[in-house]
Parts: sequence; C-alpha cells; structure tokens
Amino acid sequence: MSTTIMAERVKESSLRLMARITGALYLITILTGIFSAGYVSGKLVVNGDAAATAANILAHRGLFQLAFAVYLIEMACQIAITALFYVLLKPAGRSISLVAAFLGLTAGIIKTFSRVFFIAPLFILGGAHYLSVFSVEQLQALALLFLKVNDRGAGIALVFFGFYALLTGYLIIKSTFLPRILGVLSVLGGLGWLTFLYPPLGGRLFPLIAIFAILGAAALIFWLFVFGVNEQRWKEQARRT
Amino acid sequence: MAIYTVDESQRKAARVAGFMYLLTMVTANFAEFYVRGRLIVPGDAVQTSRNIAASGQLFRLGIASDLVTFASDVMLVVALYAVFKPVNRNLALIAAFWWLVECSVAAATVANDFAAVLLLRGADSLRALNAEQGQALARLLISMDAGGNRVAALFFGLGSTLFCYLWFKSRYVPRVLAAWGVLASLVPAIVPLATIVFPALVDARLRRARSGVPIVIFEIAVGGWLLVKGIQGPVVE
Repeated sequence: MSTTIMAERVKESSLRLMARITGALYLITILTGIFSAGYVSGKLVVNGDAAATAANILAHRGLFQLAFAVYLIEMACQIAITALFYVLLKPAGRSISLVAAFLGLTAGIIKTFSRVFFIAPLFILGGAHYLSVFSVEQLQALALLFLKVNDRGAGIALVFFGFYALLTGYLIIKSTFLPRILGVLSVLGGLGWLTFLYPPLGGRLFPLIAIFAILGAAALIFWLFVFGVNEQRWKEQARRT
Repeated sequence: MAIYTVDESQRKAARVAGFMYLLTMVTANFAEFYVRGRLIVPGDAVQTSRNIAASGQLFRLGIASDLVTFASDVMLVVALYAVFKPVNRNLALIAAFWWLVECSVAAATVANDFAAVLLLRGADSLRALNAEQGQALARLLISMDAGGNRVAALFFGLGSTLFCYLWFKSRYVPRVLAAWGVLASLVPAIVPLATIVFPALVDARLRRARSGVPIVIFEIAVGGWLLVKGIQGPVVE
C-alpha cells in the first residue's frame, strides 16, 4: 500500500443533506401517522361498540393490515429522526440532547410495541376453531380491548414524546443555527402532549393539540428542507461545546 | 475512494462484536430451531399448546435463551456503534437505535409466552377460567407472538442493512461478505411488511424456514472473521 493514501478519519454527510433527510423523514412520519391513526383507525374503530368495530375490521381486512404496515414505517422513520436530531442539536447542548434522544427512543419503543396490540384483533377475530369456547361477543370485546391497549400504549408514548419535544424546543431556542420560533412551537407542542399524563384530558384535547403540533412540525420540516441549518454557526457552536 | 483507518478502540470493539455475533447465533438458533422448531407447529395453535404443556421445561429454556440473545444484542449494538462511529456517525446511530427497538420489542413479546405457560399449567390463580378457555387463551397468546416477531424482524432487518452497508463502505471486512450481508438483511426488512400487507403471498412454512438462512450465514461468517482476523485498515497511532 502506498503511503500517499489519504486517510480520511471522519467523513460525515454534509449538514445540508442531513437536514433535508431529517425533514423528509419527519414528513413521512406525519403523513403515515395521519393515514393509520387518523384515517384507518378513525374509520374502522367505533368507540364503545365492539360488534361494529369487529365487523368493520373483518370487512376491511386489507386496509387494516395496510394500516399496521404503515404504522411500522412511521415508527422506523420516527426512530431515525430521533437519531438525526440528536446529531443536529448536539452543538446546542451535549447532555440535554443526549437526554432528549433517549427520551425520544423510549417513546419510539413504547409506541412501536403498543402497535403489536393493534394487529391482535385479526388473530382474535380470525375464526380459529379453538376460539369457539368463547362467545362471539366475548371475542369482539377482547378485540376492542386490545385496540384500546394499543391506544393507551401510544398515549404513554406521547408523554415521553412530550418531554422529548420540550427538550428539543429548548435546544432549538438555545441554538444559534435555527430560528427561535421553531423551538417555541416545539415547546408548546410538547406541553400539549403532556396533557396525556391524564389520558381523559389528553383525549379530549387531542384534535386541538394534534393540529397545533402538526403546524409546528410543518414549520420545522419546511425550514429544514428549504434552509437547513446555518452551517457556519452550527460549526462554531459545535466547537464551543 | 475513502480509506478508513482503524484505531485500537475500534479493533477491540470489533472483537467484541465478532464474539457477540457468534454468541447470539448460538442462543437464537437454539431457541428457534431446537426449542420452537420442535414445539411450535405453524398455523396449528392446538398442537402447539399440547407440545408446550408436555415440555414446559424445554419451552422455558427457549425463553431464557431468547433473553440471553436480546441482552447480547444490546452489547453487539454498542460494539458496532463504536466500530462505525468514525465511518459515519449518523448511519451508525440510526442503525443502533433501530436495533434497540428490535431488542425491546422482541423481549417484551416474550412476556406473552410466560403468560401462555402459566395458562397451560393451570396455575391456581387462574382457576376462574375453565380448562378449555385457559387453553384457548394460551393458544391465542402464542399465535399473537407472530405480530411482535414481525415487528422485531422488521427493525432487525433495517438495522442490519445499515450496519452491513457500513461494513461494505468501510472495507473493514471483505466486501463480498459485506455485500452478502446487505442483501441478506433486506430479506427480514421486507418480508415482514410484505406478509402483513399480502398475507397470502408467501406460504407460512416456507417463510419460516428459509428467509432467515442468508442472514444466519452472514452473521456466522462475519463473527468468525472478526474473531480470527479482526478489522482491516491503515492503523492510526
């Protein structure tokens, strides 16, 4: 081997590209979430009516399965964003960004696992012979119960996600390379998700919080996509910390 | 072309990774083939629960073996992150996070199996259920494992694809091996989603038997390579 080989110790993808990819993955997360949680779940799950829910799921089996797959794509993107935001925001505060990343990862794991319960109704309502020891009503009730466990699991994840958004917002405000207003929006969104500490309150306020959070996210996505982060200031702040 | 250097901490981490690749292969395949291959009959929850009731001890041994796999996987994740951080921190971190999701979901899914064993043993606290109901519930829980396993497989496949891409890019191991790893990892990344959306597409038994083979071959090969030869590259002081 020749000694003229350039040893490239660190080769990071450029910041601009990274900001774009983060923005793109964030957008996918939101669209997939709206499809599965908003459209499919909203259409098929009838709160308080196990029989109607079961009938809907069996009548739209393919759509239900698709929603599950889309949920998983959402989670894969969300986990990836957590990692990318950590790298992006690290210059604004090393420890806080690490805490934020672990909170985000925990939220992602809880939400991913709660989605396992989303697909459970298909096993329960699938008409397996051995399940005939239960009445149809019992099976339908069990199916709706698992859907609710899935919902509550996602609600628990939202609390972790709320703390994550608070810290992320704080880091954006402290940063010199992103507009402060994006951080303020993230803090407000995070406070909204924290209403899920008391699920009935969170559930009641959900449409309001969701719209607000989506607007905040949309602003952040737009900024990351079009302007990215201020590269020079990012590097300066990274050197200082 | 970028040449990636190797420092001492990466060299050590690579040995740990090699050991963990091999250890998890032993424990995962023991649980999958020696235990579940014998006890679980795909698509037949009735026979499965009979088998488990008859060999409770073996089934528990399989669960224990699974848990060792997941704990070792966490160590493998950290070792691989240490190896690849200088190559591409972003991708290494995303891959590490995906694998942590896989370990967590897989481990949480195992809790179902414990519940099934309790039901099948007819524990005193569960007397309120009659025998048929208890068994049916146990069978339901076992069949629901398929959901958690698919989610775990997806995240395993995604993380493994990125890590194998980093093996390829860094040239720390022979590129043929790394390229094989990328292709083999795409199988568990794609098959779970495909079977969720198009369940009739692949015969369940075929899926079970074959889709994991390429990645098993990769993990044994790369684990052996890392233990025997370590990672290659210009050394930095």
